[in-house]
Amino acid sequence: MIKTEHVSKIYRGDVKALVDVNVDIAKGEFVFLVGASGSGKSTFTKILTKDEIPTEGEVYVAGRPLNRLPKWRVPYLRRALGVVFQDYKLLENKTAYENVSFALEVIGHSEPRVRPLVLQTLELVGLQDKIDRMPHELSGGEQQRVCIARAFVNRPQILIADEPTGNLDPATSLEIVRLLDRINRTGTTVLMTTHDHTIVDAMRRRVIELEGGHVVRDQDRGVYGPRD
Amino acid sequence: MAIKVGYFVREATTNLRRNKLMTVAAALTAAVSLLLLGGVLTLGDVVSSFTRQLESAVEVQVFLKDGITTSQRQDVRSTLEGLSVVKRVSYISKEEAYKEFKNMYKDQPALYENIDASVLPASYDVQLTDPKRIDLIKSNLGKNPAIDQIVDEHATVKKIVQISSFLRAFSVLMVIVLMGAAVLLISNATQLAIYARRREIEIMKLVGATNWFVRLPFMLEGVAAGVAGAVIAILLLAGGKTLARSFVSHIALVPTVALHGVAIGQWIVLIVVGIVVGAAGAAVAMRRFLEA
Repeated sequence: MIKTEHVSKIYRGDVKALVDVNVDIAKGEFVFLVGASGSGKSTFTKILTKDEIPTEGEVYVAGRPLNRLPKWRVPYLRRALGVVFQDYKLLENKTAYENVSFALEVIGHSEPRVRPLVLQTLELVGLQDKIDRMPHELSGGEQQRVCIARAFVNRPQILIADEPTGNLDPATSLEIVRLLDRINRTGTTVLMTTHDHTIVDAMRRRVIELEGGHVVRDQDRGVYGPRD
Repeated sequence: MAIKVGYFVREATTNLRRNKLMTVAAALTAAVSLLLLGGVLTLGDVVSSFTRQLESAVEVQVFLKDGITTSQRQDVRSTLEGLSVVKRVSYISKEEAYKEFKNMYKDQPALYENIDASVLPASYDVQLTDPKRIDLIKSNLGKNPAIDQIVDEHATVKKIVQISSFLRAFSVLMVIVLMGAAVLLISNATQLAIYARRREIEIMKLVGATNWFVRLPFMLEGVAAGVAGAVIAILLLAGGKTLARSFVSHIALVPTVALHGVAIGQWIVLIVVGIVVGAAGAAVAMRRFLEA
């Protein structure tokens, strides 16, 4: 589902964000991408969404060779991906329902199809009672659920969550990860970047660790790693 | 992709409401430039029908001296008819000249009531196959004692055409400059609209909306400003034509054909140009935003 071959990314000057990264993630996997700030986690997820282009190497996402993907096909790549952010990126002037339905409307879905899908997805994330709340009327955890609903409402093949628990307390963080786990059980591949030890250790899923742009560990049913 | 007209129209009208002032400024600039364009088009119509009328009329008038003999007159006529560039020669007697004079100034009887036919000279009106060869007539008849003077109306026509084509070139330049200003102002309005909605655009691109889906509401907004400008220009132009008609109706020489009737062809030109200017303005503003 996600495959990189000898991927390197060198930013302007001589900043090596990724060096010779080889990763192969199968359909339906749940993978934690861990590492300290500046280890290359964000660059990696940006390459998958084609927000960044690798300096070297091949990338395949949802069956598409990204290097040879023409610009006009990029929107269709993004429809196969759901992306969740640390800072939610919700539209403040829209309700929870509207934030989720917006994602379907702007890719051309018609009204009658949108409503049942949005309601079903909001129920999946446990917000069926708060669909008409504005983002500022929701807690951080609830806002992140809206964000997940928006990413998942189109039933993407891959869900990429970039530090989704970065702004949340431990208990709420665990709830969010459980939600991602539930989505993963529907067959969706989930890639979550984090530097939260507790969560990684509790879930016991595949862990890929980046350090200075290198993959230093790729381990099934792993833990966060040696404590420092 | 199912095109959702309702969505695009809703987005565009929201944008228009949000930055009313810029949009109004943009529409007015478009209106001014389109008004000028309409003026140039109308002026072109007037000038070309004016020129046609003048050129199809007498090109050269050969005025005869008073009291010449019939044989002298015949001599002039045969000289003219002998020239290869002369298409037609017709004799205008003093009486005929007076009739024409009366007809031309029938609105101002004072002008002809105090004169009679004897004051006006007789003449030959000459039409040429090549209006530029007036010099041939001058060289052949210039020294003929029966001739008072040779008036080359073609030279006058040429001068009028020259002046008006210069005016037209100048106005076309003005039109281009103002069009440029209109495009930039519409682009500015669009940029403000894009800035106000940058979060939405970010999300749209994130979830895989196509560039055209993101663009279309802004394009519609630009086009709306352009069309509004065109409509304002058309109304002003119609008003201006009515005014112009009442001014020139009593000047005999100016043909008013071009000022009559509804110029639907012109309206279409203005609206199409308005649409193009609006869309171009919006496109300029969006290039930067959607390339990334």
